[in-house]
Amino acid sequence: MRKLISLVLFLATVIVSGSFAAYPSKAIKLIVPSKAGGSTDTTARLFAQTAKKYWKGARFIIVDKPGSGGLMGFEAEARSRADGYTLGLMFTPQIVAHIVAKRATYTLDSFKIIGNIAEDPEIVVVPAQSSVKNLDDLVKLAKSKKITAAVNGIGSDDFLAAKNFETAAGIKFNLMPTRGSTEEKAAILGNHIEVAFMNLSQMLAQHKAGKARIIAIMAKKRSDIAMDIKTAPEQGYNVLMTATRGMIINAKVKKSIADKISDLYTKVMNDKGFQAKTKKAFIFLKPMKGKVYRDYLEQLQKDTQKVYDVSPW
Amino acid sequence: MIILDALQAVMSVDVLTAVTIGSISGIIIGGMPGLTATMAVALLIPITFSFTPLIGLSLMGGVYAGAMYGGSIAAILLSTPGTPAAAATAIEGYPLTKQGKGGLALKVSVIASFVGGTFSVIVLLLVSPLLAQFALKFGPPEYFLLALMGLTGVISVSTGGLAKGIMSGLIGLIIALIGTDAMSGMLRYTFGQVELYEGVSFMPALIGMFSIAQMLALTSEKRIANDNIDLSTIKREKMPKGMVPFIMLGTAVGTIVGIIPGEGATIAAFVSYNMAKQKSKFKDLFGKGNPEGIAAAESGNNACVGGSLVPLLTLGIPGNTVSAALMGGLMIQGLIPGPELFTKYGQITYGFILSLFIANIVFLVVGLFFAPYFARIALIPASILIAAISVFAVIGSYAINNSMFDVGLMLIFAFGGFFLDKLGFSLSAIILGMILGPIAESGFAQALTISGGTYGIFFASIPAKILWVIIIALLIQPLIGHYKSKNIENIAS
Amino acid sequence: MSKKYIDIVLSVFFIVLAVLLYRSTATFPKSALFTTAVYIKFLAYLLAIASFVQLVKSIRSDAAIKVIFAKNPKKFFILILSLIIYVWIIRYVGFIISTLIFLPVTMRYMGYEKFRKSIIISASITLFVYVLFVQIFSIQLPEATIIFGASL
Repeated sequence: MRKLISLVLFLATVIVSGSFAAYPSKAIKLIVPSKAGGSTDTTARLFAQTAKKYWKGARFIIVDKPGSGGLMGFEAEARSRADGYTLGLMFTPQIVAHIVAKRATYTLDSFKIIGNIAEDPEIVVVPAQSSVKNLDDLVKLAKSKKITAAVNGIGSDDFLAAKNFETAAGIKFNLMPTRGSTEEKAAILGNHIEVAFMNLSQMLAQHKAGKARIIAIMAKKRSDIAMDIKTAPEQGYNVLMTATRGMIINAKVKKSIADKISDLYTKVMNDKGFQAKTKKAFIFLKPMKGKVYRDYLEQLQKDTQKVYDVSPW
Repeated sequence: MIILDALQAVMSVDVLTAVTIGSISGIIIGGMPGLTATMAVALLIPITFSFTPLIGLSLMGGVYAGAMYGGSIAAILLSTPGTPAAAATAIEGYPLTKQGKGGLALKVSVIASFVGGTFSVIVLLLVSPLLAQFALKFGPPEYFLLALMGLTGVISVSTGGLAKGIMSGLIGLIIALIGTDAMSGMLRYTFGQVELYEGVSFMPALIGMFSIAQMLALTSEKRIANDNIDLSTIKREKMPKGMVPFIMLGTAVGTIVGIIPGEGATIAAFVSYNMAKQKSKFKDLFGKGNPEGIAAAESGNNACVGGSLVPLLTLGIPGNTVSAALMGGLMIQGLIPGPELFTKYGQITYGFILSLFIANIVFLVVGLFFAPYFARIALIPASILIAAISVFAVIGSYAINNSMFDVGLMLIFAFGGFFLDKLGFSLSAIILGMILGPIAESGFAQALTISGGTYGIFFASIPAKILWVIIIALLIQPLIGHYKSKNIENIAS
Repeated sequence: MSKKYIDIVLSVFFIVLAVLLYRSTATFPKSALFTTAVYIKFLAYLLAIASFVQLVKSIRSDAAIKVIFAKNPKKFFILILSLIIYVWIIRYVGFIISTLIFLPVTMRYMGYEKFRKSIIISASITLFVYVLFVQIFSIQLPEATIIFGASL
């Protein structure tokens, strides 16, 4: 028994002294609010792999907490211990959409925003066989008959884009929410629906292979990797939407540690190897540091609120 | 000849080592609840960067093929399916283990897995682009019918009367309703629990109802194998005769179902199992340890491996979560799914496909060699086994979503499932309902969204009509069977 | 316990569940009314019919048939209890410590009498899980989330 007690005391000392050692002194968890093997998960794994280069000896554990459009993961991130050993990935607009829809117990103030890592602009895509060549064609078709538009879930970037586009063009789609972008992809390639709102990375390969047609990208500028796709504003519809993927920590993390994490973020984002790998994996980097990204999120929350007020979910 | 070039590339020491490591780790991953092939592939993505594309991909492919087979080992020996696709295998495999025939069940399973896996890879190798067009014919209405086809299996797996079997299937379908309404985003039946917003995940349910419920039953035994078993027979079991037609059946069903994106492997296993029961001369043995059921189910789910890669490689549509992760692995190597994969990058793509053959051979050898040793698990004292399996069940239900809530769910399903099982409800039917429910519901709702509310869409296309014919055929025979056995009972009483 | 009466109670329960399920669809939003609501109503109908058939069957069945839930009730209930306690204490002390306690205790109560061997087996299983999950697959094991009643 005495041996047991001394063992417990010894372990306790190790654990306590560990938390006073120089940060980082133990494994760092990186919470991913989506499934293993998905794009966000890959972003996190590449980030961790690169981060090890700058924090020698640091160990990262990827913790996938999928479910409910990221809500499970965001909640876990908000509740995590504020010791700097839990970093979180998040994506927009879901993180603010849950606040707006009153599903979340967190607010943006629950987090310290480290910065944005990547983005994936919204696109409008039609089947290759479709007669629709641009947004005007699409609007004309939608005015002549009821057409089905697929979006990946309610409250997602796809959904918000479709709703915003409906308002801008004065039309009404037959909205078909899917369970994941794979279903959208299959429905477009199989010509089962008229149009889908998706992200660029999900359909770029099919577009280039001529199996589907992206008719607009909902960004201010055309994308470097697909210069042939016109932007929505170019075609006279001022609808912008993009999915961003950033990094956050608990708001209560000490400033000295938060600064170290921010510094790590900057180093990884500037790393040539990280840039090369993400490019191959169709992860489009878009650095936005803490304050800038925070402003972006606040604006996004306001915009999402507007959509929610008109058509709540 | 591009395939010959690829063959040469595969026959290098590096690639062969990668496939072997992949396949063997796959067997462990598949056999261990809580570890999934998806996780393993995700883990490999950043690592494979430093390898050549072919080595990286054959490692991942090996894991995929190995895990699909590995799921059957624990399913047969411990009634602990490592993957939902192995649930049908557990129905027949575990009773065989109890009878001291675990070695035989394992042998049937590994051979069936090998044949199913290999055949589907041949199909992938030869006629991919053609089959991809077939996959695209499937829209929301066809997905609904596909789920319906899987659900006909409820009748086959129910042993405690038709009414209770159907009730069991419906319980599963109703549990699957919990969560977010896909069409409106509204929350339904979640009782304010954030963890339920996404719905009840079926891995904890599967582990609870199959494995812990069996451990509860085991409390009254000394070990899994019945007492009166002659222990010397466990080692050397001959392959039973008459398995060939069932393996062929499973292979055909699995290859076709696998090509269609969706929860392919599970549907394929249950549909093959269902068809095998109807084809079998020993229908009454089903549920009590019929190797024919294992042969059909295992060839069925392994045949999905090749099938699911068809839409992935040709169209970039991943058929399930593993192939979605595999797509990440392909892209990071600069291989973008599409026609170019078979021309410009043909050597790598065909090399990858050929490496799957080798992965199948690896698990065949490993499986056959270890079967007699694995089978000895049935002789371990129940006291140790119960404790150990409980730990694996807890960690297994935790690791899928990193959630303690899921562990609690697992226990609820274990206790509830045990209770219902004793009363003659079918736990397999509940699981089937839970897995197919979301597919059926979203297919149904999406189809009606497209059609604007008219039901004609469910009968419109040719695949839909064919599916209806199969569904009706699958329903008529067992219903007559149930009716007949009832009459016999009446006469007897 | 008599199977007949349990079956009757369960059938009635499922009929009530079917009715509740059917009625719940009334409050569904418009976008779900012609799609998922129809599906749910359909399930409710089927459940009501199947449960009713079962109810009739149960009423006509023989009350003498008993269900035996456990041939060894003592071990059976100890296992249930120890599982619940095991899962409960993970929240306080994490996976490793609780497993190291759960394994030998459960083995003992399930009838394994060699104490020293059971400790060795328990330690090996825990180590195996740790190496496989944490070291090889970098999956975290459940951690303590509560210490002294306060959540971490």
